[in-house]
Amino acid sequence: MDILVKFYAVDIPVSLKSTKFDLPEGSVVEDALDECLKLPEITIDEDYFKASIVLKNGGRTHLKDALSDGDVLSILRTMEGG
Amino acid sequence: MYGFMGKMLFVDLSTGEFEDKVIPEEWYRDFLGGPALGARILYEYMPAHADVFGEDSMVGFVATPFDGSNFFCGGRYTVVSKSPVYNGWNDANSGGFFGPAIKKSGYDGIFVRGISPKPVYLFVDDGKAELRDATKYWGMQATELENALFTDLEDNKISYAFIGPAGENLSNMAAVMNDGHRAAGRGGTGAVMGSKKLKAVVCRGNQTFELADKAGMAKLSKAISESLKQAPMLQGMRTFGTTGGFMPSLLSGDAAVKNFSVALCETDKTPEDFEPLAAPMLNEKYKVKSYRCSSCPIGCGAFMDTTEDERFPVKNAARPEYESVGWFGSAIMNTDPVVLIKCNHLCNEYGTDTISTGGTLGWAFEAFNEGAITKEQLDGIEPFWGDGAAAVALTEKIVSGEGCGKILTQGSQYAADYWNAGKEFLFVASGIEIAQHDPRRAPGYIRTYQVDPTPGRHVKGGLAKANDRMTWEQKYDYRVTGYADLVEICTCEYINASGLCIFSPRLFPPGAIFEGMKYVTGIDFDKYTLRLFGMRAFIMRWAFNLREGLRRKDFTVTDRMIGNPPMRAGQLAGISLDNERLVENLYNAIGFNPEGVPCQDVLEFVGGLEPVIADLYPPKE
Ligand code: SF4
Repeated sequence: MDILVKFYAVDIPVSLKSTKFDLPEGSVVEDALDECLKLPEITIDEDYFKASIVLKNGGRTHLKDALSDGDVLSILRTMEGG
Repeated sequence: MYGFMGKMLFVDLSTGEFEDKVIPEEWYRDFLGGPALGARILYEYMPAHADVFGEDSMVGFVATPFDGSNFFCGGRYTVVSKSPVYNGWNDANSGGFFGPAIKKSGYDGIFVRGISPKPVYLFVDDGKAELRDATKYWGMQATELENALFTDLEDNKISYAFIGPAGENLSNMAAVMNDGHRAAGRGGTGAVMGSKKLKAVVCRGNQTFELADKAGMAKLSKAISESLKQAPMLQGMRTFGTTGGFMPSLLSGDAAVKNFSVALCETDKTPEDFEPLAAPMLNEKYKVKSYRCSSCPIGCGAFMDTTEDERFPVKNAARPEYESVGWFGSAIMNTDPVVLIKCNHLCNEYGTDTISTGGTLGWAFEAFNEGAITKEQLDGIEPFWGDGAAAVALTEKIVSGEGCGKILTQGSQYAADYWNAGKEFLFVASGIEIAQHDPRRAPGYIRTYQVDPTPGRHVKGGLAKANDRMTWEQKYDYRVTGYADLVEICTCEYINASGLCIFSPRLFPPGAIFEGMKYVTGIDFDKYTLRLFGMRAFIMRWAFNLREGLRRKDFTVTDRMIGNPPMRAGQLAGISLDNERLVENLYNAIGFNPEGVPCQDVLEFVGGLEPVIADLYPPKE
């Protein structure tokens, strides 16, 4: 199934705006994050990356939530200051 | 003593007297600089219960060990005073070039008391201090003042801290500005300067200090440069600055929508509607060039130009930081970038804190839309959600203090009390507006907002930092938060006292921020000494409040901030916070009693807090 992942993050290179994965049926949100961690642009340690706020189709989601074909995940990493 | 100039300048504006004061060496070791050292000095030299605008009230401009050392991102300074907003301790820091300039002029800090009979500015020129007439500068906004000072002193390399008209008008949201549009914004210290008729402090000079280990420093700088190349945040910070945080914050529920009252999905707007305010589009349409603080290899600031816009043309405007984008954007449902840049620019020119200005604007928008205040109270302005022209008109009132601005310039709490209206819309801690970080998203913020010695701050330490590394379930588990809270407090106290930019720990290799201190001052920090330092700095700042008679019960947050009632929809739906439990957990970890008074044993254990012990636990007869 096709999953689109969008990045809104201050610590991921700006060139990486989104990416698509073809994941097996039965995959969960965490599987998509594991795929993200294989991208060379993402150099954040695993636990910290998995603590990102992740939205599925615009709504709050959890690491073990199931994915369906066509889902859009948004990975949100905020910052303080300014 | 390495890393310091070894003396402070004390100025009495009432008598016109100056004094070079040598403070005990252990104060430097125990408190380093910035807010911590400022608190120690004000505790010593400013009497308890001094009227914030009276003769005895003091304002300090405190440099840090890293200022002038050329250590990367180590050029911040701190203003300290009593706050006119909540009548307790205030510190606020800023970048630019003023921190290093204080030291180049010959001092580790400049402390001012008294009230001048007429407007003056303080000129500290290579170790010589002088008060000069500032009558002609009184009333000037930031750009006009800079041009005048550069011309009159025939030097555009001076660095200076100053107030705009807002400080002169004793606005609660008056910032101490420096070097154009940089701001030590929070807590109203600009009004304390205004009450003293002190328009500016100008510094220049070529004084130097010795580093403890020059070779070590050079080696470390090289290592940091190398590691910066790999830092995931570098490119984003350089290109977008903190403004880059807006979209993730809006989507995650961190940024305000309609003054923190609803979720975005409950409005008629989508995230895409706000993309014109996000950094990529702001840069594309309006960015002229980048700017940076002293000795910073990143440079997260940018100048913008909107002169092609007929409504609100602005030249040399600073790109709004994340906090300002939230307040002048989604918090009032404005999607017009020119309005955002104009409102931010007005704050910088008049010298107000963008967070308090934006927070007051957001409150006024909601209070008007909910019928709690009328257009008659707002001089005919009708701030319907998303109305950009109304936002600019109201911001002009707030920063200038004219018309309804006379009330609004004292902040949302004051306005709500004055009009006895819209109190349920307040998003304030002890009366001061909050940054664009919704505590319902990262509950650690609520503890920091409530009982940091400076209430309402997002740049003070605490559990919120640790929340970033937690899952949703972990974040709202309040069972064991005190120790994690304390650990984050200690690191943040160190960052602020050392003069580092708050972003440096996320950009530098592990341990570099402490190694740098060893090479500059010879002071070696390990886990144990860092913990002691952090507790000492936190307690010293808090002790100022205790001496004023303030206790935990005097530090409040509003119901909306703790999700009472909770949000109905969006990422934060159903969330309420147990703020008192978080405070108690911290107090248990740090050794405070339930009223917020540190126990004697902790004060003795931490060390360097003798005057606090003497005040809280006087020897029995
Ligand atoms: S990152 Fe930005 S705020 Fe920090 S020191 Fe550099 S220019 Fe200043």
